[in-house]
Amino acid sequence: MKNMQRSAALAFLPLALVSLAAAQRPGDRQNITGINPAYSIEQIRPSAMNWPEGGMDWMSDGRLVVASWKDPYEVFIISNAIAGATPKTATVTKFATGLAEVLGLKVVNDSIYVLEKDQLTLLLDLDADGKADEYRAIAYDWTKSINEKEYAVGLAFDGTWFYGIYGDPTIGSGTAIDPQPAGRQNGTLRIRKSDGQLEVYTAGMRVPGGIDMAFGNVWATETQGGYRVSHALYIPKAGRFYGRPVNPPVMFQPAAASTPRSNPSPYSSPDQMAGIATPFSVNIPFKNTSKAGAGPLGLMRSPGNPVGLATGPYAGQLLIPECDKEPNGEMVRVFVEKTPDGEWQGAAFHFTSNTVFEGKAVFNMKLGPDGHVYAGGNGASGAGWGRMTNVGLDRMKLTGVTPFDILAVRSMSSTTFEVQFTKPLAASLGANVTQHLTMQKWWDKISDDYGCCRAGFGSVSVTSATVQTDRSKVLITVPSLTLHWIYYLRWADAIKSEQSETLWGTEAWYTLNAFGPATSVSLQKDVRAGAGAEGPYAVHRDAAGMRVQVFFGRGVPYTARIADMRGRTVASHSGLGAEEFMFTRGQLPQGMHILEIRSGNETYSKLGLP
Amino acid sequence: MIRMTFSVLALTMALASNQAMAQVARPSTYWFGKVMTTERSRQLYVGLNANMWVLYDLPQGVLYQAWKGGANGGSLKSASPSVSPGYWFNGDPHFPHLYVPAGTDYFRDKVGEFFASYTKPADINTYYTKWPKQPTDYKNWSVANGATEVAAQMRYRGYVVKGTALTLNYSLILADKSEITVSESPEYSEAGGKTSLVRTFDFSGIPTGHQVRMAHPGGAAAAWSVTSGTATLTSGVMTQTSNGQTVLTGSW
Repeated sequence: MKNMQRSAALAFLPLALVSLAAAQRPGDRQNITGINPAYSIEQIRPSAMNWPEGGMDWMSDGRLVVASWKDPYEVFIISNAIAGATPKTATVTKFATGLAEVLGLKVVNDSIYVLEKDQLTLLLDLDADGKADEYRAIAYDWTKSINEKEYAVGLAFDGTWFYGIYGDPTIGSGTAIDPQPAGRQNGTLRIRKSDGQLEVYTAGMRVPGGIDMAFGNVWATETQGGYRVSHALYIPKAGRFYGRPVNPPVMFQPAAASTPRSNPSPYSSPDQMAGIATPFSVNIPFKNTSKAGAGPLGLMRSPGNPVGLATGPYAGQLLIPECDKEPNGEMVRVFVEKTPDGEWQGAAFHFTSNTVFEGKAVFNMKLGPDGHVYAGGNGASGAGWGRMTNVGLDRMKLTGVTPFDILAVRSMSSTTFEVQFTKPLAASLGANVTQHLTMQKWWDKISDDYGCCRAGFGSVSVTSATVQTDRSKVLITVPSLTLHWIYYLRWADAIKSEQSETLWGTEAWYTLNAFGPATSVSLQKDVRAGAGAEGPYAVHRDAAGMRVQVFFGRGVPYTARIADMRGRTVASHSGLGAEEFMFTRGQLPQGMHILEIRSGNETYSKLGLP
Repeated sequence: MIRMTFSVLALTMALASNQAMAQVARPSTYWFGKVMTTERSRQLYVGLNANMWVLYDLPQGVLYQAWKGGANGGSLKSASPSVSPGYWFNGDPHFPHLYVPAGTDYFRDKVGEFFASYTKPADINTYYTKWPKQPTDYKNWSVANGATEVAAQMRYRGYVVKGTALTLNYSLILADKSEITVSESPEYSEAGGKTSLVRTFDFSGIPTGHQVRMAHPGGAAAAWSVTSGTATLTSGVMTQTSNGQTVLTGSW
């Protein structure tokens, strides 16, 4: 049966090759070979940081706390010169040692939390000598066997809860051990900071990639493999099952999600699959199609920790690093939009080659106190988490250049997509660019067959592609779109900007789970990233003032204030739960100021620019 | 015997001072650390002396192995069931490994494996149809009111390292949410010419009329004696009836 499906998919291949037979170059059915022109990359690693990075975050004074992914697992503090003009002169001081495979680190109000494979630990320097004295166990209520995998990756913090993602025990070809260690939950666990209370949050995870807060949401990535044709990006939601079954079934694993032993290929259609397993927000294509089957090559081999961009031409979007060393890997850019039913979906794009980073692979990215993106090296060739050897620390700075690129793909209806470019299209292209667009589609039919397979692969007939009035957007119409399919769009090199630039990346992979148009939300934070804890909020500025979205739980009280640089309150607001409010232009000081949000015992402060 | 007891008491007094504890030389730069053993994760080794390495199971709060070891107290082998031992030693920084104590055991006990609190009991039985079975219904710490055992949830709270002194912290949470706290500081002693492990316990929060019991001091009961404090030791079970410090010493 499987062979028949694969043969059917391959039957479309000649057609696809014909339609895609035009120019091929980096960014066009080949992986990017350089740095996206919007950024420069500076290698900043102090020589004493001679180990792969397993987690990092910032202290309020600009020091960088980094966990080493090396036995013995340790935590180091890099002096605040790391964010300055001479970063390689920063000192590296050991803070804690003897930990258990740390792949998550979060600084909250200058307290250092690490997610060990077996425990969430608060590291305390009781005598202020610069070294941790107390290794306080905050939570450990999860099963952890002695298997090699069972990774625990984190940490995202939403102001109340820490979130970690936990892989299942896997051996050999990628099948989960059967029976798995009793009580091992493959999914997201969250831990309340105030008392260490642990909640099982989601189920159905394979190998975790990374997790972090961006734009007020927790975003997680997973790696291609068993029950994963592509890499996955999604917002873990309470009680959801994300498709990777184990035996005995874990909490939230529905009976219909057959275990590999009983039925290794339980899904017959995308709708049936979506009725059992929550669809991913974005399927990020695996770098090759040897197992996936027909269709275009993908982007990366192993995703790491997502980071939300606050500024630059891609503000409001996510970057996902490639933590595999393979030369064709890419750091991927992702556009997301909120669907009318409250879920998220979006598209993946080419961004930057992995080879430009010192370690040739990046696990974590964090916004620094200066607003730049800091990337920690970790990764190896084709070895997953087991043998990550690459060392590096890089700083990505905006250059001020806006490359000609596909900025976004949006679902507009059951027959239309809108594509937005970073710059207006050349006038010479006219209003009809249909002949320059190729579209294909398939659905990721997940099963226990490792990395297999794209199903239903075929071309999409484009009715029209019409340039809109401002010439930066194109409305694409097709006869019909189908939910839970992946739509691949590729523009020919004939598509040029007004300055005759060719596209940095010609391709987009859109995961369609609901028809648009999307719910309007602000994803752009233009308050510079302050040091220390991220808060459960997002900020947007426009001519009217500062619009603040807060994401506290229902009924949770909070207060917000604007203070001047002497700490004096100039405007305030109080409210409950998740909502949006405005500090008007008239309420804001002329110079730099501070936004401070308080809820319970937590305070989040960000330095704002006028 | 009297001389030995005096020496142990003197050591106990010294242990009460963090300053004194910080002066003790340890057998390795990495003298403590989390490890997986061949049976369980969440283990902490502590190298007190080349003659005294110990292993704690942290969730159970039990010291279950002590041995005379080499420079690092043990060897490592791959934690991957599908890979032969040694595979991960090819210069790679990360090699998930199993810690295998090497040397001569003073004792090594069987310990129950920790499973998440939401684990279905039937799943544990299923798991042990394939994986090496560990003792079930294992409990090291318990609380009694008079002669009746009462509900008490054991919580491992982490450890504190001051210089070269390490103290483990536990809580026993009672039904009314009150907590009995227990801390333990292990130390090596050669007092009286005997190789000894000195375990200094501090108890607080014990309600009037209640007893805290530790069922497994480690190895043969005959090796242990209460050398300071008010605890009693009967058939290997240490019972503490009031707040304060107790020192338990084992010699081999």
